[in-house]
Amino acid sequence: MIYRIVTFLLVSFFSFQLSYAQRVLIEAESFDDPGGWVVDPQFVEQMGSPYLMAHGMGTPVANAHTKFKLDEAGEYHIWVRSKNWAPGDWEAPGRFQVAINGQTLPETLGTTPGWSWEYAGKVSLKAGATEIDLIDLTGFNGRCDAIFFSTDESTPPRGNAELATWRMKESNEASSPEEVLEFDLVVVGGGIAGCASAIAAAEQGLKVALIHDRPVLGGNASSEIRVHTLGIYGHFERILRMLDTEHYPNGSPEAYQDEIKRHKNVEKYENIHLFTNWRAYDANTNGNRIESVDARHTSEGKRIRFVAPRFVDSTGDGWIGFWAGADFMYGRESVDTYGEAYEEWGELWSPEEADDFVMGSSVLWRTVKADAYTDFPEVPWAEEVAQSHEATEGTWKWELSRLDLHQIDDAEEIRDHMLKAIYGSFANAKKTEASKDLKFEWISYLIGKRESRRLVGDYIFTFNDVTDLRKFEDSVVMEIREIDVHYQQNLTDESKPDFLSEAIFYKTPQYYIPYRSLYSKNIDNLFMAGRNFSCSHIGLGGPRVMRTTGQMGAAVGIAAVICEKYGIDPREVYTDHLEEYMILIEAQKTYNTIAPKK
Amino acid sequence: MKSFKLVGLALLWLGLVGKEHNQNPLFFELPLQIEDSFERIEMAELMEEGFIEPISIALNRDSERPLFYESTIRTTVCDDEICEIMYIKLYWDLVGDYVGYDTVATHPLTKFDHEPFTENDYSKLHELLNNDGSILKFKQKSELIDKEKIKASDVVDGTTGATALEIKDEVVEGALYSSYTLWHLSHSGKIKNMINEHTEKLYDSSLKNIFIASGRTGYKYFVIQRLTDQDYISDTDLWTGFLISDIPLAKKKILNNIPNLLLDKESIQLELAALFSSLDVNSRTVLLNKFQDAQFVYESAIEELSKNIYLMNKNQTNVFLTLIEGGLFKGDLLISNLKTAYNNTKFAYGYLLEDFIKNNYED
Repeated sequence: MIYRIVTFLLVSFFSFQLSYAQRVLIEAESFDDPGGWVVDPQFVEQMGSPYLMAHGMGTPVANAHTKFKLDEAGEYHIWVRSKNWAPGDWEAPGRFQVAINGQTLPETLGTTPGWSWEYAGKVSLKAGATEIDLIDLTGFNGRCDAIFFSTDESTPPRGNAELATWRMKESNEASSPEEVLEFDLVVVGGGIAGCASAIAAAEQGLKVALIHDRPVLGGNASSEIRVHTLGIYGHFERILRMLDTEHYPNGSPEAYQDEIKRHKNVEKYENIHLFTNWRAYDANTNGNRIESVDARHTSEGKRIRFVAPRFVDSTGDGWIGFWAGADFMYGRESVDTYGEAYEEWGELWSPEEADDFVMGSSVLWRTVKADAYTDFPEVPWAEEVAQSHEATEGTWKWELSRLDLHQIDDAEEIRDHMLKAIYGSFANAKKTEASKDLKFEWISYLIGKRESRRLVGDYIFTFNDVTDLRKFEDSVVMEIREIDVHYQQNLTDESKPDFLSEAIFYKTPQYYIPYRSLYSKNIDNLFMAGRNFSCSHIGLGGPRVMRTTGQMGAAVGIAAVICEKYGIDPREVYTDHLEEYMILIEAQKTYNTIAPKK
Repeated sequence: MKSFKLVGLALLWLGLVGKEHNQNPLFFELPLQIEDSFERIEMAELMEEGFIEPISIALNRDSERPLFYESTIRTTVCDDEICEIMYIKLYWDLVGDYVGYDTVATHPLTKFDHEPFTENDYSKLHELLNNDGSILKFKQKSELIDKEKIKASDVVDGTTGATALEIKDEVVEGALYSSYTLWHLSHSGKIKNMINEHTEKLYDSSLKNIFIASGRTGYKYFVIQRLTDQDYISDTDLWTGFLISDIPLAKKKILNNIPNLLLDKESIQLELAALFSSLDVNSRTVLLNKFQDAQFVYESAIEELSKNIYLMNKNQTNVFLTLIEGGLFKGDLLISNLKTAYNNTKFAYGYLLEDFIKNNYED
């Protein structure tokens, strides 16, 4: 077991008396055996840590189990950091209990609104091996971040900043990672863009680190989210065919086949060093340059510092740029900012005044016919969201954007809102004869985001580049798929559920994206590829789909090779070496390796 | 029941011979009777790719006001190999929203195998055209057919088995390409823009009043888009009325456009705060943000808002707390409402109030 337990003596002086407290912090994500619980690292930046979640789709999951060595016997107070994710005038949906050494503590957990430490009880423990079980009571997404044992009665801190400091102290964590690794290129984010970037750079001889916070590659195209890839291949058909998907319905388990293909293809490159289950948490800068990126293993807690001359931000949320201080945009620009009107759609397309009504996030799901009638519990906590809506599967239209919700800061609330929509709509459908035999086959617990931060590059790609059919000397991405921008259905019809969206399409023969939209304007050694590239809200409407973002990834992978060859920054590829770069881009139709000079 | 039978017989007859003029259209959703006395004014022409002649759009009006737009269309409907000519008359309201269609004399609608439309087919077509969110919006013509299912002997548009499954329920059976063509015509952005531009030229206070009284969402939104600062100041009842009854998109626009001059008034703040509970979730956010941006927020407005804390979501509650933080407001009603919300077991975000109350309102 690799878990973070720190036992130490807390010495405090009070009224000239000396007191000692024995304390142990167990991070839930580091359990030996998660049983049926899943590790959810999506919201670390908002709530502080990956956590375990009982994602049983209404059926309680198997216990999570771990053991640790307790140094000293004593009477221990036990706190569990958890959250009632659907508070209200009903029983909390995600209830669970904790058992210590086989003894189930009486307190039901997962019942307090907002992330907080719930008191689980007091237990007398002997020194030595101590076992913990998390016992799910509902199958409805109970969550456990950490368990804290202390002979002292004081509750651990609740507030995020205070908690982070406390956590570091309790874990006895040094300020910087234990291990430092060096690469030619560090790619953060293993979606289609990140994978394409890694392959393109690795084929030309670069030593690449590909850091991804999930066990599987593909991001929105992975078997965990299951959105099919759309768009064309552009110059990079050979690379993108290694990574993309068939055009199956969104949510289809056929995503597994394409995922196997993707992994085989990425893993065959010896100089791609794959770090799955590692989540970046900081970018260390010197002036306008990133010197390293720090990442933490999502369950083991171990940390690595990744040092490189250049970095690719394909995190989707633009985290590397954000941490490094890169200029970024969020929200919908006003219609006049870039002159992006689509007259007949007016405010739904581009608002008179800027706002945060970005395209929303989706959670896909499927049901399957069982052999006989299957029961489904009452879900009163979902009714407020689902209301009378009935459904037995999700499509891309299951999407949430709301003015008060930020797609990054409020991502957990967005995911939970979608879970309520799914459970509630299915519960409604189950009351009909046609659905009596249906049961859940799969619900993603990861949200599939369409839009969040967009990092600012030397060029901001906008709708005008599409309408004007503008071709650039540095056009490295091309696309024929229409621009489609989403809005929530309840904006024009209040009777519609708030979790359903609609799309507006603008058809185009072909448009191009310049290389200058793929590196940061103010962080000298940062590329970006994926939905966080440099564009307006409307500009993102077309190229956010995954073959197009894959083109971006491949293009920056090639640019990194030119950078390495001449020891230059991304901008200089455009200013000084564009001809060579574009030749190399054109050559991608065949496997034409041009190894960089060191 | 009798009237249903009559409509059925009429539709059957139309299926055989097509539509004579001077009858009311088969489907027409505006509350008026079409009369011979209406003046028909050719407004504009539009040439769309694949059409055999320009689409001519005409305004119909009576002696007092413009009423609706129409176009008699003759176009080809083609699959990969075969083309048919289709005749139809389409109707739009004064802001370019589809309101109905009619057949053209001697040209009943037919399917691709030349079978005439049935009564159900005519109704289904109107249902389709009335759905501005139809799946046809997202489809290229090439995506309409599941080509793996087509057999050599099939007439393409009649092979409903080959119609892509997700489209099948939305279109008129056997008239896939007609359905597709007509939906895209009925919801053509170009036509909508032309109509709006033309109506703009006719727009005056009389038409404004007609639009307001119409109850039509599109008409009211047309008015809202044209409200000036002076309109907001001089006719508070008008825009507050819209805030109560209109679609969320309209409410958001109104709230965004309220002039600061007006927002600085206590009476307006109070009125807006009182409307909080009748607003949709996004309009509530816009309203709270407006208060946050206001130079000064009156205690009366804060107290009114505080009655509805329990309706706020997490971030709205946080915005409300920023409005009152710093101990600026200490009225008994506010404190009482905060405590009531905190103790309300149905309020999901009471925990956000706990520390705030302790820090600001407890000794």
